Amino acid sequence: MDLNLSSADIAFRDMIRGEIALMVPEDIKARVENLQHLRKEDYVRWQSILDQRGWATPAWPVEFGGPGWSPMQRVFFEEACFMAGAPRQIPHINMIGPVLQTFGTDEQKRRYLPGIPTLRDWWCQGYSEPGSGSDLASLRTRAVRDGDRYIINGQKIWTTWAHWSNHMFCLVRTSDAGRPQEGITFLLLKMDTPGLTVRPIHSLDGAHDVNEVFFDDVAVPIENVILGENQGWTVAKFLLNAERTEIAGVGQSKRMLQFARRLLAELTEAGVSSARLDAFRSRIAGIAIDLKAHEWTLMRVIDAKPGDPKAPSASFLKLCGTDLLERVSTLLMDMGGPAGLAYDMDARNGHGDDVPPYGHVLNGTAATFLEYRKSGLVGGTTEIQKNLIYRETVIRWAAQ
Amino acid sequence: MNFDLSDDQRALVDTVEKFARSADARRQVTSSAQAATEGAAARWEQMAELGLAALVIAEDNGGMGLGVAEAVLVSEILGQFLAQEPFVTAGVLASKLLEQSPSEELRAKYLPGVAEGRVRIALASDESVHEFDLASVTTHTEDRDGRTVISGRKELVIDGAMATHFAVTVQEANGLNVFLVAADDPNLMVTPVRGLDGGWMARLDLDGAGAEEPLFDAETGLSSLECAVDHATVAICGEALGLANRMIALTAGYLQTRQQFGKAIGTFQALQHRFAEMVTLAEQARSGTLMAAAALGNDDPERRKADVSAAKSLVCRHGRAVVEGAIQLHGGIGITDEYELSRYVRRMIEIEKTWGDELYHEARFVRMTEGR
Repeated sequence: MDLNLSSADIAFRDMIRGEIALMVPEDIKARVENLQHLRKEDYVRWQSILDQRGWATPAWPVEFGGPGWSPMQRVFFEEACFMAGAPRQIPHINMIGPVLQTFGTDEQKRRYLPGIPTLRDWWCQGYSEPGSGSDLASLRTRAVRDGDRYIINGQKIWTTWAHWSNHMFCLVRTSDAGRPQEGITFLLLKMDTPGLTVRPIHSLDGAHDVNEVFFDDVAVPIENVILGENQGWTVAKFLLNAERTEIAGVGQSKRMLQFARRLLAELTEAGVSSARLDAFRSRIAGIAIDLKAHEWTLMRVIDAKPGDPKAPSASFLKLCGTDLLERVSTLLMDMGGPAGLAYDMDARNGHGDDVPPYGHVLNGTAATFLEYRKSGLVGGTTEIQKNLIYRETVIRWAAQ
Repeated sequence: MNFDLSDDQRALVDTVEKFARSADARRQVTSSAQAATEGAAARWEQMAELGLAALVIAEDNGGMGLGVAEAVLVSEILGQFLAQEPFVTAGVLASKLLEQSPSEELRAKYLPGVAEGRVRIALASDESVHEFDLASVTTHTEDRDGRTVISGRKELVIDGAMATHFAVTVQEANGLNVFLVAADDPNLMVTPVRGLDGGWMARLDLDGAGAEEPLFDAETGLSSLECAVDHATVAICGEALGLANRMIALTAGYLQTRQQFGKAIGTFQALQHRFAEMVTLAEQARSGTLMAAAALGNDDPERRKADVSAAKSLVCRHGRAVVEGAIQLHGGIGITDEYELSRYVRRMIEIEKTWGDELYHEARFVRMTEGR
């Protein structure tokens, strides 16, 4: 055990912080710091800027054009981006990329990898269905073999950015034999395929991020299968593992905590009562303290040898990360105070140049609370994580 | 940075574990302070023979020259076995106090005894029993018959009943300082105070107790003291991790064996989730403790204090959550003093209240991080 960062790690961290801070376009940074939603072109522009430095695909190995960073360096990169007001990286870059690199055929790699770094190809993830949320393996969107193609019928839901995507990777049912997990296939498809319809779902804060996707006799060539028919669950599990550091949400929480500190200064300036300021200060401290520990848990997870039963698992990261995101977004709403009674949704969504009556930040505080209610649901609910943690740990602890 | 134990660290852990198992070191509720402290003092000398009393003393000063990360490993095992030896006080805290002293004479006089476990120094700083505050000191030096002597009262001296010496904080005209006073000084009255965990603390009444040279220059007295207490605080956080380990293990075993409604109660999801929360919070407390151990090397005292306070407040908060969860999941047996869990619960609360509770450390964290 050596608790000190190596001088190389420190040098990398300082370098990446300095560089990223210079690279983020001012208008994008302003929208982020105003608690506004970003537009598709913001993400695309930032991704192209990263691509020029060779940093567009931090989790990809060098042979596929990645920067060859260690997990620790990726954490520093992610943090630097969040703290500099950059858009979050589209998680699918680090999901479908490694899937293609690990399981894809040469033809699939050649066709699909080049469009990912610049977001020329935007991928969405077709997993959840109306009847299959936490129990994902029960999914029923069916792909029936018809010569050299599959015909897909069914429905996906909560599909993030389906309306911005031109590709989807999805899980479909190809067999009813055996356990539900054994009849699932991982499939790639184009969003403009006839028979595919995307319908928006507006979230609590009025934003349009997620969608329903309907499949009505959608024909997909069989060469779009990854790994093989009925092997989809293996791919899905691999993909979940690929987003291990992202689910910790360290950068996101740090950024929101930074916003809370700024807001505290503004409230102080505005003459808010000291009792109220002290209460906020205490909550900021509580979150900052937990966030420090959470960062160290992340480093412990990164450092752990695969399969080490004593190491904290990704479920700990998810659980604590969710708790922090929920608390810090709640704090922002509370700090927003009565100003949160007012809400200009168009301004938050970045439509037009209107400034809301009490400014962008206050306009976004209650909305941020509403937005982050998703954090205990995505990537496995808090309750599912607790089930996993119990199963992973109880036997080992009882034996001690 | 890496979190795997090195071969040396693994050997250290094995040594401590072997000792803790064989010595039957478990904290006992004893009716006599003398009986309790004599046993613990003898075992402390045995631990010193293994080098543990000198663990964090620099090699130049005859110690093992290890860091607080290693001290955390040691105290975690001691916590797991509920050991009563004054590793954190007479070991870590005393070493760090003495090593910071600019007086070569005092270092030469006391460090070898500390390293051998013969000299057991307890910190006598608290004067209020309502709030922890190292700086609020009225105990003072005065001139009596041409000699400098110390007068005042000190409360809740941790491991005070088994101490051979006290590091007494004293308010002097130009700042706070620390004097070493022998426990058998004729002008010092030591009254044992029974602890919640069955151990024994002490109240000191100093009425012209003999004072030799102070440990520090008065300008650096408080900061040196704070630094030493911060080291001890991180080490005692390690002990809390060990307590949490044992409470979680007891709870895991109970969940798997206790039957209700015809099946093991661990099959019920509400109980599974409570257990998962305990495990998760204990992991966070561990991360926080490691973070603080790394921070002790920081040259900036404000950053060090912020990180140590972050860790201690986490350990207080999460330690209590583990206590509450363990009791609740055990049901009636969880509130039975005779059951093993009780000793761990009591010790965890003692650690909470040692050198600042959650409120104290959260407030200190706010002070240190404001303006950053």
